[in-house]
Amino acid sequence: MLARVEGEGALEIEVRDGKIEELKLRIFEPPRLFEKFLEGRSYDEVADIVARICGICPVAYQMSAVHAIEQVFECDPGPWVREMRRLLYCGEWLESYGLHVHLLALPDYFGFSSVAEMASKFPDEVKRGLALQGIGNEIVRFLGGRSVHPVGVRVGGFYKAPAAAEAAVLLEKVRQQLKHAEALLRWSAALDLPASRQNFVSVSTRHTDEYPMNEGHIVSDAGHDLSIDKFEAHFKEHQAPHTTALHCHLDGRPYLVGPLARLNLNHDLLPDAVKSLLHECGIVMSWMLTVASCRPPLSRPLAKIRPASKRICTTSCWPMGLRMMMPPCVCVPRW
Amino acid sequence: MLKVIGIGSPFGDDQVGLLLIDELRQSEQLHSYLNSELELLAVDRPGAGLLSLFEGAERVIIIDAVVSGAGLGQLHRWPDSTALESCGCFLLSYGFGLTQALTLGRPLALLPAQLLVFGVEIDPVAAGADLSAMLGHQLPILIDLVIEEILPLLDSF
Repeated sequence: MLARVEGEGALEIEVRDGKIEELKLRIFEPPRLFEKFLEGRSYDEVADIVARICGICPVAYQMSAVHAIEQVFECDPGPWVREMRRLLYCGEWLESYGLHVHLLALPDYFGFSSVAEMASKFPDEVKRGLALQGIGNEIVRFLGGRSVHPVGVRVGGFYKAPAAAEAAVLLEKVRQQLKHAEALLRWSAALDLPASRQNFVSVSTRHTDEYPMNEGHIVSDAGHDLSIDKFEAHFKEHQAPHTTALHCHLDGRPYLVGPLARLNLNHDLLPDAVKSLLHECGIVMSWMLTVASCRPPLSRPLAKIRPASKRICTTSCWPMGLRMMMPPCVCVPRW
Repeated sequence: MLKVIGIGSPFGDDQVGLLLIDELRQSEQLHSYLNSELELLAVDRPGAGLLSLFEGAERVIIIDAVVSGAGLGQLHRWPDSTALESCGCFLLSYGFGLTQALTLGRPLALLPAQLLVFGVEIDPVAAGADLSAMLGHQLPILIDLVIEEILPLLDSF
């Protein structure tokens, strides 16, 4: 039984003679059926409904939905909305990764039973993680009205623009947290991590001149450079018998998405200050993507760091409306 | 400063902690204490973020929903966070709820000097925009019980 995944899951591993013969990640929470919830709904209800897919990463679903609908309407909400959506997404990344790293991944990595146990040995690091998660929540609240299942996003922009004075206060808070983000990177880079050489395909979006969030082509380090409308021609979802989570292959092969894949494929687009810090910390990004080039797959890893996230978010996310009893687990749905 | 923090989510009986804070804000008995000695906060599933809300408060009262099998509307009372640790009756999001937040707060030295926790027994399957009818009827009694606990704490400052 996996206790700290985003959703309920179990891992079955069959080992023979010291070698893994079979590995199955079973996500056994029931299918969510959001596609059916959306049938018959007006376009302007979609952003609020899909925000309920996950209590930790609702913005990802909101952004996908509003961009798809705006594409249908041939609507361009303009540069201010574009920038604010990037800000909102940054807020989500901060709160989601802050939570994942400190409350989920690090206790496992260090062998603690929980973050509370880890906090006895690493109190300052845990406090720093909570502060980074907290500033992410504040950014989401700033544009989304609330940090859990935000409601500020709409097709064409936002329901309400925050006040300039509120923005100034938030900006100052964000500046104060920069030192924490920098310290986290330095601290993580100094951890004694085992070498992990795995051959996997990274997939992410890629933009011509900025670190990608909402726009760009779909690229991979197996040579893909696809416009968004080619997604269905190359990505095929299928149901695996042991899990309720859909599996997906890119041209018949499994692939990795998420922060590490995005970093692997876009590190050249990071702000200069971040690139310098990576260099200072000894994190070497050994390869640069050339968009539209077709090359054979490379050996991984590109970044000499341990994958920061092992999230499975597409189908195993929980709405925060599901507060659980444990043990035994009894769902307490709140819609 | 005394902070009273109601925890919940927006629908069904799980909103009882939020509604109690709304009601306390209307209370004439508490009115003169507000903004000086008393702060009332209603928060939607704060997770570990709850700990940051304790800042600046020597005393904190928390009100959250519980499901223990007791009678609907029953008010449980825990005089400190240690007493809560063996209690599995608080609701969780992602395996993290009030008990886990308080357990995390102890090694981080983020807990207030004095902490009192109230749990309101709810119907876990009551859905919809409102409280279940039975819990709705209990709400005035719960408000009085909570105010009875708050006033002596305020007067002892």
